Amino acid sequence: MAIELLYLKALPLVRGLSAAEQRTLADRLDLVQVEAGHVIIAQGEAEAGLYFILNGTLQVVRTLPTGQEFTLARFGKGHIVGYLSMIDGRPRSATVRALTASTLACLPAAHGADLLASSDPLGIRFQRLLAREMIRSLRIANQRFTRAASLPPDEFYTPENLTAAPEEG
Amino acid sequence: MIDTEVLHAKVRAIGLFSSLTDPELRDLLLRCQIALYLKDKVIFREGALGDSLMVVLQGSVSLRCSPEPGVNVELATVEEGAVLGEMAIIDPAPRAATAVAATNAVLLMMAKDTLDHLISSEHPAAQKILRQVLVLLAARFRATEDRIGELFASRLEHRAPGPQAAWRLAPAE
Repeated sequence: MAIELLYLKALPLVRGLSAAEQRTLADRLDLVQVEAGHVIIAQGEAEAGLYFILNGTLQVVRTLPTGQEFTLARFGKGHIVGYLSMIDGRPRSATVRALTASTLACLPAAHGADLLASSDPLGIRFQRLLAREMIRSLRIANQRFTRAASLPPDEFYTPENLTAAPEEG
Repeated sequence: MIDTEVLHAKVRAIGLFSSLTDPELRDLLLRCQIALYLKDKVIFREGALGDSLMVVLQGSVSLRCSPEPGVNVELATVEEGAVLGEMAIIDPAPRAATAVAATNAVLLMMAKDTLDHLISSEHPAAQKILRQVLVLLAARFRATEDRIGELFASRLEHRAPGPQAAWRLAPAE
């Protein structure tokens, strides 16, 4: 089901687009509503759609070969999840789960590939948006990683140094 | 010195520019700078505003950072073909590390303004470069997630089962 334009107004991608471009984008997006606990993306899978978060909070978790799980990130309204596989065609690097009931706009893989290959204003805008989203996360991760690597093991879990958050119930 | 043909071949071998046609590549190189850094010369400093992308065309470059005053960490030495500043060319910010020429080194430099100009003038190279920047960023992202996973796993090994730490790559909303 294509998404209503009203929902789209919340997305940073939309600002500055012409009415016709907004309609093109809306036609390519599907509205997805999920309950808390729902798995939106499963680590290891090949599917490559991405999701704009219109409302709610999603949790990105990674499972180690030992089965242990750790949280990479939590994202809310305005963020995007699932773009890595769309860009590089490799399997999902992590699982994305809804922490709360959430409303998402799904851009299916085929439409995403079109936008990534497009040099029209919507395509370029989409590519820049994905780059900025990745850069924001990478910068935070790199900063935290540098600090964590220079700490002795016993301090690894120290919240004030690592911004460790309590596990979500 | 590098002659033009060798230069073109070297730049062509870089993933970032591999999909450009010969005329696009020539045109792009006219808009970029090529600089020689003598061994031990600082290329950029941690904390200085970065708004350009660099490619090591010859030699090697050492990356260092200082996570806290008085602490210096050698991050990596990168060789010919390495790309630096792929984040800065999209979103300028203070450099996260200091780059020093580890040997005499030749670098190609592309300013953010150059990419922006290519985009606004709808130059055919713009989308191709942007696409490759995304591929490069995705590779960096996956590598970072792997390193965090390894660090997390190694810390679990050194410690009896205890409280689970939750890592965030971005602040909670």
